[in-house]
Amino acid sequence: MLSVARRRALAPYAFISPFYLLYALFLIVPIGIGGYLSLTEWAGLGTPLWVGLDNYTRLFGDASFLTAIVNTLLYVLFSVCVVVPAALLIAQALNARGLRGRDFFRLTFFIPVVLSPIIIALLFTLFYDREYGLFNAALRGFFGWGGIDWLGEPSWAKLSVMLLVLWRWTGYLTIFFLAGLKNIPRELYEAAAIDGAGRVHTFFNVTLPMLKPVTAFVAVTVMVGTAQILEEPMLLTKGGPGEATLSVAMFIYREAFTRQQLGYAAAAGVVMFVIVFLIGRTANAVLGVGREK
Amino acid sequence: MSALQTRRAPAGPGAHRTAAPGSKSPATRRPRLVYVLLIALVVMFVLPLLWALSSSFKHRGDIFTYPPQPLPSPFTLENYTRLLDTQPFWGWFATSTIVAVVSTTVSVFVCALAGFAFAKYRFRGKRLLFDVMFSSMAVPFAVIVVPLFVMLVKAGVTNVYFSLIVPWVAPAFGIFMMRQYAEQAVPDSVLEAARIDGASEFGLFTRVVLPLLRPALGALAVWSFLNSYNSFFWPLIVVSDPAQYTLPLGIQSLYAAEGRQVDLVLAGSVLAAVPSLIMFILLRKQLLDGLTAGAVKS
Amino acid sequence: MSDVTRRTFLRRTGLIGGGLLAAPVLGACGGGTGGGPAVTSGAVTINLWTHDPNITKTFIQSAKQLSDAPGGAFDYTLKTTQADSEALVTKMVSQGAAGTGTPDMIGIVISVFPRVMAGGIGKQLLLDLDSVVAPVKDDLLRTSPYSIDGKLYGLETDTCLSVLYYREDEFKKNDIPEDVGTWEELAEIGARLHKKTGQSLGIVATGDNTSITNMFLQLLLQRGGGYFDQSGNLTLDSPEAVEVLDFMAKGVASGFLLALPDPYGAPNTAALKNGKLIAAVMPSWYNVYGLQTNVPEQKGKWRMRNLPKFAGGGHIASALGGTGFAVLKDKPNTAAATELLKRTYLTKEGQFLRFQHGGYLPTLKSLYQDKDFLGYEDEYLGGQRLFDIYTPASQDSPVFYQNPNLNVLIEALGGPMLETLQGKKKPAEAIKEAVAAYNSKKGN
Repeated sequence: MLSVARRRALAPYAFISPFYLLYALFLIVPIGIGGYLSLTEWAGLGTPLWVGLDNYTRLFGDASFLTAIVNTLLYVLFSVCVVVPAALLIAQALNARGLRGRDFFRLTFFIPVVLSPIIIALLFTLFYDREYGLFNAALRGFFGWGGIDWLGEPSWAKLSVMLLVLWRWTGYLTIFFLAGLKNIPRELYEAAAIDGAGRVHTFFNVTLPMLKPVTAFVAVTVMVGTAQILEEPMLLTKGGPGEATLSVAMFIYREAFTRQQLGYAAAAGVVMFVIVFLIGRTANAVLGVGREK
Repeated sequence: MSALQTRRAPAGPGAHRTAAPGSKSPATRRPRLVYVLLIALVVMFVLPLLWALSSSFKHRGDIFTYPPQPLPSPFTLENYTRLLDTQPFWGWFATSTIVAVVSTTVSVFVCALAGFAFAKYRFRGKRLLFDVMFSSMAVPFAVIVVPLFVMLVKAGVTNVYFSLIVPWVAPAFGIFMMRQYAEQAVPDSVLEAARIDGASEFGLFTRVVLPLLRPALGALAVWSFLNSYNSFFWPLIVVSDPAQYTLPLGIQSLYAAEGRQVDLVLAGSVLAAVPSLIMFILLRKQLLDGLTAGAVKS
Repeated sequence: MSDVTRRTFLRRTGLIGGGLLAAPVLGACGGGTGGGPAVTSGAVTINLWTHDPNITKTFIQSAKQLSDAPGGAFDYTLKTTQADSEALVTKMVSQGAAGTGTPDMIGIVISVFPRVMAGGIGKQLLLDLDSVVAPVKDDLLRTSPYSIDGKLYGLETDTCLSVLYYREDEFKKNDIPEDVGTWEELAEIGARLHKKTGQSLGIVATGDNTSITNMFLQLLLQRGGGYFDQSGNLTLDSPEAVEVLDFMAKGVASGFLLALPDPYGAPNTAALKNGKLIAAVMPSWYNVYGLQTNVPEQKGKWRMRNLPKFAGGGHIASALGGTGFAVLKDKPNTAAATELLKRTYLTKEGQFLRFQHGGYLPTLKSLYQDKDFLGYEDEYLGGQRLFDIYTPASQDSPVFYQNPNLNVLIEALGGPMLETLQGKKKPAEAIKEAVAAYNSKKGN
């Protein structure tokens, strides 16, 4: 029989072991294999051919890969600078005192996340069409002009991907801010009001500082999530026109599954992992998310 | 808990939950503007879906017209009947549901268990183990797809359901969320009291901790369910029998064909969205509160 | 079972099987099947993967006829998988790597075929069909797109000859002659028509890179140019390529050609429906997949003709698309699958069946003189005798050479080409840019 203290010391290991077992088996082992593959040339069949660091040197000379990194950074930047503030703004509106139907709004805004990205992307492909799409039709209806080539013009195409990201994720992030706002002690607002602070002043001096942990969580989630963006550009534009919307994850997919260069794709995956990891770590260090005491 | 937190009043469950919205509140003075903004947003978020719903009852030829017709005329159920008659739609539905339910059950259980351990125990290697797990949230799925597949088949796994479930059973996010929630929702005093009453550690978990974690469990359940139910890329590689497709895969196959069967795609999309929406509406409270708990009270 | 034992096993059973197979199943096409069949007669379940539902139907019927035929060795049951063409290859390779679960037969779309040229995948998984087609080798129209190092690994499903589809009623109404001789003349007529009525006589694609380049490739091949030569060298950097791209860009600018994301999607359907698009250069399959599916109500109004020539030279036909059907080698069902493929793809009965099910054109030259085909009248095209057009087209159709780096070229070409079509870049520059990008990215 184990003593109570002993049992208590072993319990956490017992509790985490099912997770770590599955986790090691279905994530760590494949990652290891992927790391090995990145040092080989392999089309998916037969024995991988050891090439050392060749894939990596090739990668850094590959204009497509650099394009993909730049595009992905743009997506990340957009999510952090546009999607996150938009979510905060909507949360602020939802938090207005005396607002009726708050739950209805909250629910509605969350719906895009509930639906399959495949379905959403297929729908948006139809909406973005230059001649017959809903968006240009709406523009024509309201402004008498709607000739935007949403998916055909490189910069519009990037924006189209971003707008889809905005549509899909804003509502989701809103609920985090809303929860954060609800959690701000009322006394703080009362104190600010007594001090005669205006609305803007209160927002910047009370709301924002109090929301910092939520903002940090949301920002890191969004950065890490957007850095892996795959479905949106893949289904909307297949990375085109040209490579205007190619993301790193799509680059990996393309090398692996349309060109059968699995070793090369694995190397790109390793590089991507390192970049995302560093971004996440830096953000964590600066903002303090998920950190232990 | 971050350094930032120490400035805040310690937030036990329930503390300040009901506290104040907005300052002297813009809303009391100008609620109309807020409503306009919010309703405009509702339109933005819902219009595309309503369009899909409405178009799914149109004949193929009436779907794309200029100017767009808001309501189907003539109204037809043909897209739905044809989808159900010509495609193994119920097979897709069964696959998606079975896989989502099983992977959700497993992942919620293992995440709750481990999240609790991380939140409430001190043990050697805790920091390292957590960091390893946390940083793996950044692993692009595309990188492990091929190794994972080859691994499964070499191990003799031929069951499609098993293969489909595998990538979703140990989500790092789940542990993160559970830990964040358990940290504040499970008071140490309650644990101590239960221990004094002679509860075993596992008994502690099942009888004391799980009930306290219920909102987070609900949230993680919905989150896992949707993740698995909506997954496309992995099923694309694992499933070869069309009768065993997942819903997204099946629907995509309708679009991928040269004929671009948009009419069937729309009908299928509407049907596929029904379970997610029902589940979401039923569990919305838990989902919204549970999901945010980790972030707010980190 | 380890690879080695499995291979030995197959080789042994192959010897026995080869002997049993001596009885020719199809007299005319007889000849050894090679490989190592384990199932040599009787009930056999063939696992068939394709992206195309009409191909599935064709094979099911063909398998039934073959099973019912007196003296047939096999009693076929078909297990079919229909999925996206890219996904099929991904799955086949993954299953191949895993050593189990590959199909017995697979349809590989022409643009996806380069993937099996990489890393010896085709050679490791697919059956070399040279001996299978030996009796009809000279009668085959297209083999180059599905060959690796001179060996044939896929049989063409459809010759995919390009013709000019046009609305006869609209042409009459607008006084457009149905027999305009050259593209240049038609472009002028198209520009005038667009100014007058807003209608267009063709499309260019502005969607993803594959769609964009496909429309170009179709015309480039007709003009006598191409992407690659037989030995795999890039031949894109040519006056023909610049000329064709220039032709397309000017066509878009004048309204003669309509820019659409792709030739199958909703926008295209809408353009057909509202009569904005009244002609298009498209392959044979467009009749069934494009027109009949999307605008059934325009039945009787469409006709087709051979392509106008480019003043500078070239062919009266082109080709776009296609699917090579391959058999997986060293599998128990290899022999049975090969027989089924031969029956469906190398006999008149099979080819006629395919033609009926999906409008697939014969892949044997001789069938373009066959009276059953020649006599065929297409209801949708107002009772037109299709082979009055296809037969001459088949005799003057360009050759497309496949290349493992085709996808790299498509990605390199898509961007600059789109800019050219949007009037932002000169054709010659775009071609130069694409060639440079291709050379820097092709690797190896």
